[in-house]
Amino acid sequence: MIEPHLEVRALSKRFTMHMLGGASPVALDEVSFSVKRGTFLAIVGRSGSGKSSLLRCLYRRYLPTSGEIIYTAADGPVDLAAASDQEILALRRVEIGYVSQFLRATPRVLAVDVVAAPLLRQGVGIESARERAGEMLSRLGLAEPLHTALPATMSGGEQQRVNVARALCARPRLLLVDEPTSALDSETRARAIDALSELKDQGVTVVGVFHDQEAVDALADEVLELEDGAIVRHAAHDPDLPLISR
Amino acid sequence: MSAHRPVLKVSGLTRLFGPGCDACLSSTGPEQETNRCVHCGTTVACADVSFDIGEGEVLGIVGESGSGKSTVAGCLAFDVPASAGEARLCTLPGANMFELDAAARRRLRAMEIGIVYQTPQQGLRLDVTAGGNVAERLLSADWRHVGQIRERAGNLLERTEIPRARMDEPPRIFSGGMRQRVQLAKALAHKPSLLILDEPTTGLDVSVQARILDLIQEIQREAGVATIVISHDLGVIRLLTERTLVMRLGRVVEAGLTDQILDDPQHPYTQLLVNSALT
Repeated sequence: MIEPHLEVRALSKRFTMHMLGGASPVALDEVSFSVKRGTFLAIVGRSGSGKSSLLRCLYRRYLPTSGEIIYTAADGPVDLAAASDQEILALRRVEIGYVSQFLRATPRVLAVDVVAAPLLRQGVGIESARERAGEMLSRLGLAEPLHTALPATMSGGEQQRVNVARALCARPRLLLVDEPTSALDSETRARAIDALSELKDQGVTVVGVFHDQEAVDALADEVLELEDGAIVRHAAHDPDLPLISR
Repeated sequence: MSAHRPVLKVSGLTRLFGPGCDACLSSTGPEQETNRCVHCGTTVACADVSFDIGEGEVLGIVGESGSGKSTVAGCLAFDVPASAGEARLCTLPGANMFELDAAARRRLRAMEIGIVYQTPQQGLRLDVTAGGNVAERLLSADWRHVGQIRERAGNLLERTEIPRARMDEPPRIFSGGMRQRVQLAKALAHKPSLLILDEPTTGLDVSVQARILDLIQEIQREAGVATIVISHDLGVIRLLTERTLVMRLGRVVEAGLTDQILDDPQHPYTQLLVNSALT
């Protein structure tokens, strides 16, 4: 039996908004699930159901309010909800990748260097890092002249390819993706799906938020559906079922 | 997980301006909405500040004017004495920096700690040549060979984009951005273990600020020196740092991963700060 790569136990996230009189909306309510190594899990649900909050808790961009996120790292299990900041940073550097909905790159840094940056942090030499970055950008269909352009001057779809390339290039063991294909046209979406699919074949565990049926059909092994911060379905993906059940 | 080896470990750093009394700490801080002791009039510039920084790590300290962030920097650079607390550098095992005698402090400051101040006149002698400013720091770190000093100063200034041809001119005739770059060259002169950047780009034009921030990032990538960045600008903090402390009225009110602090701030003051930023 394959042991879970990620096991989420009773994870809750509540925001306390001090500027709004201490209002305390619940984003996630005691969510529990596990993901086996090499599984592609698609998180689906309506806007506001807690999908991105869940992903951000897994990456620790959001601080979980309670619960555990047991991740089996290369050198043993670690609770991502309670790990020290330094432990999280070390994991982000080598094991856990994240693709946000929108690229937030340093202005004035060339696309190829944005993609190469995580490799440099892993200790890869500059020449080799840039070469791998260039290959991944080409793979995602970004024309070569744009490799040495500034992402700020690019279209949304081009920026998103830089964003996806950066995460894929770093070869994480767990990849968290937040609607990576939503800003892409159908041709580049197919390329991105292809690249994600290859990652899956390499045994990378992927947890991703998707609205896009095509991507889910092509990639997902399992689907986890959220409604009002709670899980209403976690099952093997069935292409005959609608993404949102109710 | 591999152990995190701190280059610098600070615990309980406190700095009072005034006579001090037993009630200073309990009567000040964010909950009391003041950093001035009502009993003895002492200003508690910072109290009980604790953090550590690993090799190559960049730690941000953010907060409004008067929050105590520059006092923390000043204590670590020995510009102002700490009233209490400890600071331990890995290159000086077993010693509390704040308990060193004056000679040992000067030596530590010269050999291990580089600082860039918000105002260049604090960090530079404006009437001494740019090269001379860098050389001064090398001399205090026991460099003696004039040729080598000049070569190193020239290289550092070129690295920080001051043309070698201008190294014999005084920073007084330089622009604000150039002066900050001379400070950076000076701070890096003797390969410090700890680099402190105290509002390094505040008051500069945005384009000049951008160039300095790029330079800091490049140098950080090359040198991998443990760095503290102090800023009230959340954009600078997001760009340069991975972990951040938020200070208010002399106390650390929140500490965490920079993206978590900015995307999911916990403390009421941090929420106010994040929601007040223009971008």
